[in-house]
This record gives sequence, C-alpha cells and structure tokens, in this order.
Amino acid sequence: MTAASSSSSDSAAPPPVIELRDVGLWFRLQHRATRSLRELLTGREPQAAVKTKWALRGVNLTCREGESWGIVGHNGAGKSTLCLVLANILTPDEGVADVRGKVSALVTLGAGISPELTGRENVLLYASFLGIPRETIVANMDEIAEFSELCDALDDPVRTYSTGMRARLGFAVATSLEPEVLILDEVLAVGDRAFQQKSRARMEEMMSKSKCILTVSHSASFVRQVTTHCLWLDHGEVRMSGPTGEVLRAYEAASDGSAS
Amino acid sequence: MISSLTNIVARRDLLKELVVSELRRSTAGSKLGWLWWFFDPVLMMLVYWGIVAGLFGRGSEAYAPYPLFLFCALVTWKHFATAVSRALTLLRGNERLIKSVAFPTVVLPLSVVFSGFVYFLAGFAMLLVAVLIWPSPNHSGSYGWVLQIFPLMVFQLAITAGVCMAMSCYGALLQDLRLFVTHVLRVGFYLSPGLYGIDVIERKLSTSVEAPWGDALYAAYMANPFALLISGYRNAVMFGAPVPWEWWLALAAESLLVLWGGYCIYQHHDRRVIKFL
Repeated sequence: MTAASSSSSDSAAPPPVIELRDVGLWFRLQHRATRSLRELLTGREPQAAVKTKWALRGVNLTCREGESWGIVGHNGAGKSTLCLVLANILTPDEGVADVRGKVSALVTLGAGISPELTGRENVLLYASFLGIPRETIVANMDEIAEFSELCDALDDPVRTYSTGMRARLGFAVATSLEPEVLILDEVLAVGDRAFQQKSRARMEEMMSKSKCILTVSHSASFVRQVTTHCLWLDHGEVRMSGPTGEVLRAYEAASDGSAS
Repeated sequence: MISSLTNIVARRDLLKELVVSELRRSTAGSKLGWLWWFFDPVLMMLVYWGIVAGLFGRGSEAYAPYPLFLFCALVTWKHFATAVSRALTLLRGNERLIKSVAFPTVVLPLSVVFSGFVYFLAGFAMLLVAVLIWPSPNHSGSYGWVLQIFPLMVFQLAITAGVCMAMSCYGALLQDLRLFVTHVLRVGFYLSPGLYGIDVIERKLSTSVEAPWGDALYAAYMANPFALLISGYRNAVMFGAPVPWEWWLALAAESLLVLWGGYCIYQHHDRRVIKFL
C-alpha cells in the first residue's frame, strides 16, 4: 500500500507540483576547485577548456499531486544533486526547475548544530533556518523533547550529547514541518533500532500529509514499498522513468543483481 | 531560496535568531561571559596605548585624553575588520548547512555584521561613560553633537555589510583571498586615522608635497570612509564638534554605493557559489 495513494489524481489535470525541463548542472572537477581570478572578476562562466562535469543533463521530470517518486541510480549518478535542485538549494545551469509549494528536504540531518549552545537553543536556531515560525516551534518544544527522547538533556550544551542524540534532535526538528513537497535522501538510519522504527513511522505520517514525495534510496524494497513512480538516473541523465515496478525491474536487471 | 531583499525581510526572524545565537555562543563556556564584550576593547586599547605612548612618547595635547582618542578608532575598525575576515570563510565554513536547508544565505554575512555591531555598541557605551569621567580639554561644551553618532553608525553598518556580502562570495570562490585580505586590513588600519588624527596627514601633505598635489592626496586620503567615520566619532563624542557637511555627503554616497554594490555581487553569485563550496 503506497502512502501517497490516499489523495486522488483523477481530477482534471492540475498543474504539476514539480516540473523539470531539460535541467542541467555542471561541477568543476576537483583539481581546480575554485575559479580563476579573471573569471571571478568578469563573472564569466569557465571556458570550455576547463574540465567540467555535467552532474545532471537534460533531466525531465513531472510530478503531479498525489504521486510519490523514487530516485534510483548508482553512486555518483546525480541523485543527491537532483535533490538539491528540487530543494531549491542549487540553481540549474540550464533548463527550468519549477517546484510549486512548500518544500522540505531531509537531506543532511544535524547540519548547523552548534555544540556550544544547548539543545533548546539549537532547536530554535535550526527551526528558523527551516522557516518554522518561532511561536510554532516554542509550542512544539515539548513534543520535540519527547520525540527525540532528550527530555532532561535539552538544556545541556549539545557538545555533551552523543552522536545518536544529535541525530535525533535534528530529525525531530526537521520533521516538525508540514511540507507540501517532501524530499528524502537516505536519512532513515537515525539512532538505535527503536528510534529507527519511530522515525519511520513519523516519516510515513509526513508522507501521507504531503502532496508529493521524492525519495532517494539504495534500498529497492523501500522504494517499491513507498513510491508510485520511479526515475532512474545514470551519469546525470535519465535512463528511464515511469511506474515503479517497470523501472525497478529494468534497473535491477541492469545492475546484474549486484544491487541489494 | 534567493538572497533577495524581499527574502531577507521575510526571514528577519532567522537573522535575529542567528545574531542571538552568535552572542550566546560567544559567552558560552567562558568564565566572564559577556563582560568580555567590555574587557576586550579595553585590553586592545591598552596594548596600542602602551606601544604608542611608551615607545614613541606620542600623546599630543590635541588628542588628549589619548586612550579615549585611540579607543574611538579601535572599536570602529575592529567591527569592520573582524566582520570582513569572518565573512571570507563564512560560506565554506557553513557548507553542510547551506547544502541541506534552503535559506537566503546572505543572512550569514549579515548576522556577522550585526553580532559584531553588538560588541561595538558595548565598547561605544563604555566610551560615552569614559568621556564624561575624563573629558577632553578641547571639548567645545556643546554636548548635543554627540547625537551625530547615530547616523554615523548607520553608515558604518551599511559599509561593513556591503563589503562583507561581497567578501563572503569572493572568499568562497577564491580561498587565497583570506590570506591576502589579512594584510590589506592591516594596511587599511594604518591608513585610517587610528593611532593619529587627520590633522597630521593634512599638515604633512600640505608642507611636503607641492601645492595642487598635496590637496589631491589629502582628498584621496579622506575618501577612505573610515577616515570620515573615525574622525566623525571623535568630533561627536570627544570634542563636541559638528561633522562637516561634505563628510556627510561623502559618507552617504560611499555607503550607498558599497551597500548596493555588495548586494548586487551577492545576488549575482548567490546560488552559483554553492556548487563551488
């Protein structure tokens, strides 16, 4: 049973929630991480002679309300880059990326946490990065404390926390949003086993509330379970996109059973 | 999330939270906490005073009391220099955050400017008290001119914010810039009337350089907004004198230009800089 199938997609073609048209994005290869002084001053894009790599090229994707998309592909296929584009963090170098609605990306957890501040202060700071209004987060503070299992430790500096505690804190704040578009990038493995089950339940709850979901995962079984459609990326280009079953069959066949 | 003006306004809560967190972070773990906001500029002043007065025996009557004369410049320059050098490593230092949450990243350099401004205000409040206890013999007696510090502070914020916005982009794109700018800032301090007053420069240039060139050089020297700001603060706080109208004009033009330029540079590089981090 897919989490997103609850809302109907039969109504007369509302505009797609996500629309990518010929999206391309290049990266400079590692040997010269920064631009030359001349390019910098003139604001010119690097010349063709400079080695660049297209992390994404000609990517088309249309997600309608109620759809849940999985993104699969080998390491370095551009899955994470695509997530950053969808989350409005990176702007594509060519093509158009239209994402309508409030996006929340659970890409990296616990980024921006300052060890010197207390858990509570970090919650306030992280929440304002996410754009959660202060009143909302203050009202939700008890719930966050409870969910993250940090009840008494919340007023201690975060540097005294264990790695698991930090991750739980980040997860609890990030998932207190109610986004319309949810982007998940392999963040299921947070905390111990008991917390993993809890976080999974929380994510499924979020998925059922949001209009459109995109998930990046190496776990084919997870993708099969929660998505209706799938996009297979190969070296930054779309190899195949369509209903999950078909795409995953082809993907698994192509990776010769080496994928789990 | 583009760092446009409307987005900055929309996310002012984030900016406020960042400044508050920065101030909390500065006091967390230190025994004296926020008292350092007051000790730090005083210690810095004592070091410079010790060097200048002790070694060179400088302490002209016109500058008396010299420690306060020095303090005026040091807190002002420190706000600028600290903010600029922090801005250079800011985007790279927050790479993980920038790549995980969509927010107008321009709030990062702005938060550095504003949190530094709180330290500046702490130092300046101390200066205002010290001036009452230890008044300058050259004070005109009209204390109303002290109100000039408020527009001066606005110009100082605008110039520092503009430079920091540009430097946070360039620092991320060109890492070597950090090492270079450290030296530029040091030269900048000595080119600003920190340890001396502008009268020294005026006298030197008018006596040792030929007629038209002396004035031109002096005008070039006074084009430095920090020459105007520091001398302006001294006029307002120490000497109870008005800041000349042409200084106001120059400061207004320069701060608008720098703020607008820095903002445009940030807008131009905004999202593009992220993939170079």
